[in-house]
Order: sequence, then C-alpha cells, then structure tokens
Amino acid sequence: MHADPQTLQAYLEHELPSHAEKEIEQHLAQCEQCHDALALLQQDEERFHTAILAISPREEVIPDPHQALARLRQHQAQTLRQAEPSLKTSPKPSWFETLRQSILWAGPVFSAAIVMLVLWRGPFVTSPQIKPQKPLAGDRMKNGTPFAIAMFAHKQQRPASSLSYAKTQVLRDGQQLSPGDLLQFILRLPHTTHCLILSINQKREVFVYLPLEQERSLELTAGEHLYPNSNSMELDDTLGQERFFIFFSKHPLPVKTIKRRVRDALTMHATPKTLQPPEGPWLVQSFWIWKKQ
Amino acid sequence: MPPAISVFEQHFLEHYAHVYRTLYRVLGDAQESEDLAQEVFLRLHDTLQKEEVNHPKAWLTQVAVRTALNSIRGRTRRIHRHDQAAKHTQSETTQQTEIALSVRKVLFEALPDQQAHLLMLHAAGLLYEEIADLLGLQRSSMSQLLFRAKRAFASAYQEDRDL
Repeated sequence: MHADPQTLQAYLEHELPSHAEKEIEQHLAQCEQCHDALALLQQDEERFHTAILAISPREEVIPDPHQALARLRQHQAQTLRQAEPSLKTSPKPSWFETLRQSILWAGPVFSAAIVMLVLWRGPFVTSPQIKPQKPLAGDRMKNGTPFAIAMFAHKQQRPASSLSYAKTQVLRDGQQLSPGDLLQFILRLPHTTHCLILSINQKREVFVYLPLEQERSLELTAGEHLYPNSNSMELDDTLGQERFFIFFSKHPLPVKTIKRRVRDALTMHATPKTLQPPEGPWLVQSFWIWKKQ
Repeated sequence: MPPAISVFEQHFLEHYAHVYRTLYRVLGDAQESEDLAQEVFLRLHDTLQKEEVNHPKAWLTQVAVRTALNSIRGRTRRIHRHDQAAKHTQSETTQQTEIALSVRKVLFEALPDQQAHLLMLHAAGLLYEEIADLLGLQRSSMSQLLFRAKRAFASAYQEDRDL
C-alpha cells in the first residue's frame, strides 16, 4: 500500500511520530513510486522556501528595534498631547521638539536595554548576545536564573577534566573554531533544572550534545556542573556558522520536538548567525561559532 | 535602582524584526512595513492594558499577517504598488525583484485569502499546533489545509514562471 501525499509531507517536515517515520523510511526504500512522489514534494517544498526567501527583507534593511521603539513612544506622546486640549500643544511639533522627544525617549529606552543585558549576562556569560526567553506565566524560574558558560580548547590541548579552567577559554559569540576543537559547558543552576544543549549548522543539521541518546532533557540538581565532566565534545568537519542553544526548563523537554523547532526556525533565516531561539516555557541561552579550517 | 523595562518593551525589542519581516513579505514596501509594524505593536500595547498575551510571537504574527493582507486588499491598483515596491529594492538585481514580484503575485492575487494567510503564518516559522490554535482549527484539518495551500502555490508559481 502506498503512502498518501499528506503523510509524505508530514515525513518531510519531521512531523511524524518516530515509529511512523521508520515505517515510511522502510517503505520508501522499496517503493519507487512513493520515492518519486516524495522527491516531487521535496522539490515543491524547496520552491516554497526559495520563494519566501525571495520576498523576505534583507537583514540590513530591518530598522533597529530600539529606534523603532523610540519612534513609537514619540507617536504615543503626540497622540496623548493631542487628546489633552489643556496642554495646548501645536498638532505638528517643530523639528526641535521632534528631536527633543527622540532624545527623551531614546535615552531611557537604550539605558533600559543595556540594564537588561547586564542583568541577564551575569559575570561569566558566553556572549554579549545571550537572549533570555520569557517563560510562560506559572512557569517562571524562581530564586535566580540558571546560566551556562561555554568553554573551548584547541584540538592540540587536552581539555580540563575537572573544574580547572587552566587550558580552556571562555567562548565568545562569533568565535572562530576548527574541526576537532573541544567544547565543554559549565552549567550554573540555582535549583533543579532540565537542561538540553544542541547546535544547528548551515546545512540545517541539528546535533544534540546534552542529553546523549535520550528522548528527554537531562535533569540536573542545583549547583555547578561541568558537562561533559570527564572528557569533552569534539567539533565535527562541517565548516561555516553553527549556532548553539542551551535550554533550561522546570519540566522535561522532548528532544525530538525541540530539534524540530530549532530546524523549523532556521527555515526562515538566512544563517545560523541570525537565528532566534524558539519560544516556549523555557529559558534559552544562545551563541554562534564560525568553523574554519 | 535602574528603570525597569516593561513587558511591552520586552516584547517590542524581541519581536520587532519578526513582525517587520512578516509584513514586508506581504507588502514588499519598506516604509509601509515600518508604519504597519508600529500599528501592530500599538494594538499589542492596547491589548496588554486589558489582558495577558500568553504567546506574544504567535499573536503578533497573526495580527501582522491580517493587517498586511487588509492593507493590500484595500488597494485597487495593485500593479502600482508593485512598481513602488520595485523602487524600494533598487539595491537588488532586476532578476531578484522580478522573482519577488512573481511570488507576491501568486501568493496574494492567485491564491484565496485563507491559503495566503496560512502560508504566511507557516512562513513566519509558527508550528502546526500554534497555527491551528490561532485559526481555531483541529491540528489535522489545519495540516490538510496547509498541504493543499502549498500544492496550490507550487503549481500556480510554476505556471507563472513558465509564462
């Protein structure tokens, strides 16, 4: 019996449960007709993504959110003034007023943004672009925020085997690394937390670093953990940009779903460098590396 | 004490680029996308005064797609809009602009609104569950609709490119 096109589509988008995925794979291996049908769907799928890319704005034309927020505040202030006749302001402010308003709003907005970054970064964070996700109501982490420090060592050096950082360095956003270089993570957890670490490269391949060969995220107790604690993870040969996500959650996270969400998120972004973490009831730390020979 | 950043400002800074991208895909016009992005966030601001928005990204995407589609539906001279859009993307090659025009023509003129809407939510990276939730559909019927919409787009686009 042949697979119907919708099942093939679900297979393409990694939406099938794992047992159904295996069944389809076995069927595809021996059925030329379904194999060809899948190839056609894949072609359509690629055409759709290329089409969406063609109508997406180039990243550099997207206005700076801080300036856009300042403009919105300015607009709100103007609307408020117009609604309050007692203020007797002219409907159209002079260029001086406009400039003054921009500065008035831009100042607090920028400082608030900087404060937010500083508050979230903590003293040892991996990157200036770490972007915490707001957990859903009722799932807020209490008593502090967990965070991770990524460490690396070049392939010639042995990684630290305990919490001694003598031969490793703290990874920065956009860090240049090579295949064979070694990675380790320090996870600082104020309370018991489910953790999941994965990365996605330019080929949209997702690699799970933590947990290994398990279907759900790893539950770690409060305190400091070095992961992996007795050896290290070695970077593979795929060159180019690669983005890492470190998920923290109060509840177990299904690895397959998170992988799919990260892969889906990359569909609409040009590169792992610009990729935003998927939203959900978790906190995410994120950074990217540049793998070169 | 440093000034606290409000929930609204947090949503704004986090999702502004996403909202802009979503609007631009439909409109193809930088200035209009910026104006409508402001409108979308003003709506979020008003909504937050009354209720909590649990999934801000999905909420914003839905409002952005509706706003953009309403905006192009309100125009009688769509060709004129496409001409304008072409001027805004002068830095792109003629071929890139041509492809973009053809994609928009198929998505927003050849396909029915419901299909264009679905495809834009999908293109914005929302999950099947999130889209089904937004549109008040069962997940299975939503995936069936999305499947049909993708096929409809693929064949209409192929036809348009062959002409």
